[in-house]
Amino acid sequence: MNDQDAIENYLSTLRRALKGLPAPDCDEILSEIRVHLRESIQQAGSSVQTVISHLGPAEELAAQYRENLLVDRIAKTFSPWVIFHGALRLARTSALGFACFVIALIGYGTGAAMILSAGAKAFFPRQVGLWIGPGIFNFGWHGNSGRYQGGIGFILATDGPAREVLGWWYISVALAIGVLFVWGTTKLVRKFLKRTKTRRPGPFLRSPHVTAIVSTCVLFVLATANLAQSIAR
Amino acid sequence: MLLLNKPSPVETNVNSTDRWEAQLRKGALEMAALTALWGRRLYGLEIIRFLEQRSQLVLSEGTIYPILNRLKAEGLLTSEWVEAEAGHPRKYYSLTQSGRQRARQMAETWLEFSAGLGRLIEPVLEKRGIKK
Repeated sequence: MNDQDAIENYLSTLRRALKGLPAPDCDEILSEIRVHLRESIQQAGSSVQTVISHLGPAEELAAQYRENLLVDRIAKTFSPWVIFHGALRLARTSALGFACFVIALIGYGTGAAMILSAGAKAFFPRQVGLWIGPGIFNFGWHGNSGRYQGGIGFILATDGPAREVLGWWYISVALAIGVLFVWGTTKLVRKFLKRTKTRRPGPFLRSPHVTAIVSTCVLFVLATANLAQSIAR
Repeated sequence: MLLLNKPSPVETNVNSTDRWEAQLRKGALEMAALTALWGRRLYGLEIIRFLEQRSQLVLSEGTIYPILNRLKAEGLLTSEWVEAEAGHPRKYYSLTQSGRQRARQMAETWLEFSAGLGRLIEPVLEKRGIKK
């Protein structure tokens, strides 16, 4: 492989690793690194392998760019998607970062569930609502109307006489709570992310896929425990 | 039987010191990059060479470019592509007004910090015979 091929090889790995970044940013980064590689070889008279080894692996370089740009985007944005993405990256750096990601997952998950349940009320008006009875407070979905028998949502008891109290107001209330959860989670996680120093993913969780799988397992266990408790009652 | 090469306490100590030193260098690199551009404009490789000559901060050349990119995104640096004699354009960086302000603040903070820390570590250095 000649020098030019080695440079192009490095740059194409870098381009792949930078995937997802805005195209102009990506092009500018690649141009700058191309100049660096060419001039380092010319000026120092070093081999292309030496110059590349001084620069570090393309994937690591891309990871540093991504994290630096992500911090900047977080500082400017209120987009839950960017914030969530930031929390996912932070989850890979420390146990505290992972806790922050779980908070984001629960906060956004609850917000999304509330907003979805507001929509579901339009299609299943007898099953979705706020059910109140002796020892019962359930905001969400339940199996039967009339006598309350289990359900999904904020559950305090699973069986007994209960009645739905909100009617069509449920849509407005669930929407408001959903938006409040999304807004609150965004504010909280954004604050946390801005204060956290950027660093490379640590040994806690290397891959974003592993992070996603582990957190899904955590939530699955929590949900199963909740369901088992409901059935036991 | 599974045999694990457990690091000795001395090895662990050396690794922790290396990690700490790497973090220290990385933390100071942002200030160093701003300082390198004080009163002049330089392109990436010039900044790296400048820092290599005057400090031992640059461990991996790859760390400097993402930092420059972020400082630019924060509005502390500005950049322009200038056609060079080498036959291709180079990306030159210079400080913005807020970049100059930040560099000055960082330099003052660093001075106070290092003076305080210098006094603190005096007994440790004296014990090892490394007196000023």
